[in-house]
Amino acid sequence: MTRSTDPGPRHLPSVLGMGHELPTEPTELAVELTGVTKRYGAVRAVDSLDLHVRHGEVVALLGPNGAGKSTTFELLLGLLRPTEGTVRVLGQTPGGGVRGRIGAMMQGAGLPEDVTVRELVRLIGRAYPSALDVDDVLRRTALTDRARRTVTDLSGGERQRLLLAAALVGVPELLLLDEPTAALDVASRRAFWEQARASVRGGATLLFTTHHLEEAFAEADRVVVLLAGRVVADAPPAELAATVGDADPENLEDAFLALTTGETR
Amino acid sequence: MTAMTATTAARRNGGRLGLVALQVRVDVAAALRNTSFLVGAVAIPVLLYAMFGLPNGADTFPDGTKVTAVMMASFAAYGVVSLAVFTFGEWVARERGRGWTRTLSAGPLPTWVYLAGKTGMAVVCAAAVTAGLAVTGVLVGGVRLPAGTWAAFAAVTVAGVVAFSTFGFAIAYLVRPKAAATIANLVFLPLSFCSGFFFPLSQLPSVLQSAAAYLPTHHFGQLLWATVATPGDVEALVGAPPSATVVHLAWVAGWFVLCGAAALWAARREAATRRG
Repeated sequence: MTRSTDPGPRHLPSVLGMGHELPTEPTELAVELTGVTKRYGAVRAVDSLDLHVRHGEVVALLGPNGAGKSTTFELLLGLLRPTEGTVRVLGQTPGGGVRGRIGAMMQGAGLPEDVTVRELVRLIGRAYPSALDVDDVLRRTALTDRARRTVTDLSGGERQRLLLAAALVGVPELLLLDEPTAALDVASRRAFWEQARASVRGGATLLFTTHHLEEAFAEADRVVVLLAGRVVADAPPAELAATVGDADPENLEDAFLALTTGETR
Repeated sequence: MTAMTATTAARRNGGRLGLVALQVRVDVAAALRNTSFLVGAVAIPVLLYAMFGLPNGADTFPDGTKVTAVMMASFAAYGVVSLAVFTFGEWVARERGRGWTRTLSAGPLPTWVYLAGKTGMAVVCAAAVTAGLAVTGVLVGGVRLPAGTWAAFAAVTVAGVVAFSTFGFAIAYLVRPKAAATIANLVFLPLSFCSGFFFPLSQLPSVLQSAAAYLPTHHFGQLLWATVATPGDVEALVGAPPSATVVHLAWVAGWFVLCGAAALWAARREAATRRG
């Protein structure tokens, strides 16, 4: 297995020979990272990254800890600026007005004190150009009976569902969800994916990270694997699993380890 | 979680004014839930007034201004500085430490709306402090002022919160979040004491009287004392003739601008450091 090299702007990189033709119209891309490097001193958190996501696509970003997934999200949200390369989100530079078209869940996102669930979702929704009914969003995220609780009184899973509610309430065109199902129990995780799928059916694009390989392979149209800030694989889930000689979902971890460590059974 | 239908109708939101109003409502509601904040910011100034301002209820200054009226203004000034330091300073620093301001910067809620919400909340608290002091002054301290004087007193108090908001924001963004509470307390009490809010400056050592002339909070106190006392009585209080109103205004406005610039610089520095 070899590392990807930049095949040029017309192809998505893939070590597995499964590069995807990019659409001819640039406006068809919801996410464009082209030749993006983010350096912290000598450390390259993201290294010559090319990642393109079409409108309406569901893309899972996988990788071991420190692979550059969260840095990639922070670049897309305008929280970080690339050292090299260009980042475009919904055709615009990250940050500024485009934030009103994005719903984001960041890892370890901070929340205010003494504010209730309902108040926070309503406030966040009010900041978007348009928003869903707050009660409706709370019902969908199973937070109706927590609506009057303050954020500090929520459990980890409830906070995660609140962050999802905040990401969904503004009817975003692009959902950037960094480990959205962390801290969720099985039932909540399933319900979460119902919400996410509904948003995609409504026209949203979804880029998410996860350490649950089975949900990445089950939910995503495409799986992109990062290692040391570089793309080492980019393919539909079935193709990716098949490349390690076994498409059995139970052996997804083998596929992942083969890609990220070179280990095979 | 229940299944979501993709066809749910979304309602269009209005302009930024409604968003600011909602942010203020959310922050006021949050403040009402925070008992320790309410006690410190609203109840303590009234309590201190009752303890230190009312015992000399029968005394008057040379021109006839009641001591209880002047002390009411002193503790209103104290309340304003307290709100600035603890609402804008400590509270914002705490939320900054919890990552809320970072979360905000990734979403569509502008930071200025967040800060405007805090300012609005502090204005509401300042109005509560003013009302509490006024009721105590009238009922217990025998303070009697013309309606116009009451209006001026309330207006200067509430405007003071806005004027000192940048002071708090500067603390919030210049200081590490974990150190903000300590710094706020270190700054607040000496500043209030040296500005003459607890005791008449004329009773303090001359070095403190001289130092007060360089404290923006003291100049704010001068503006408040001027609403309830004659210039002669203010002179008796501070031990020196008061400067022209425009001088006091210039000090307060200059401090507002200076602290605003410092807060902006610190916030931008943080954003630049974060972006790398």
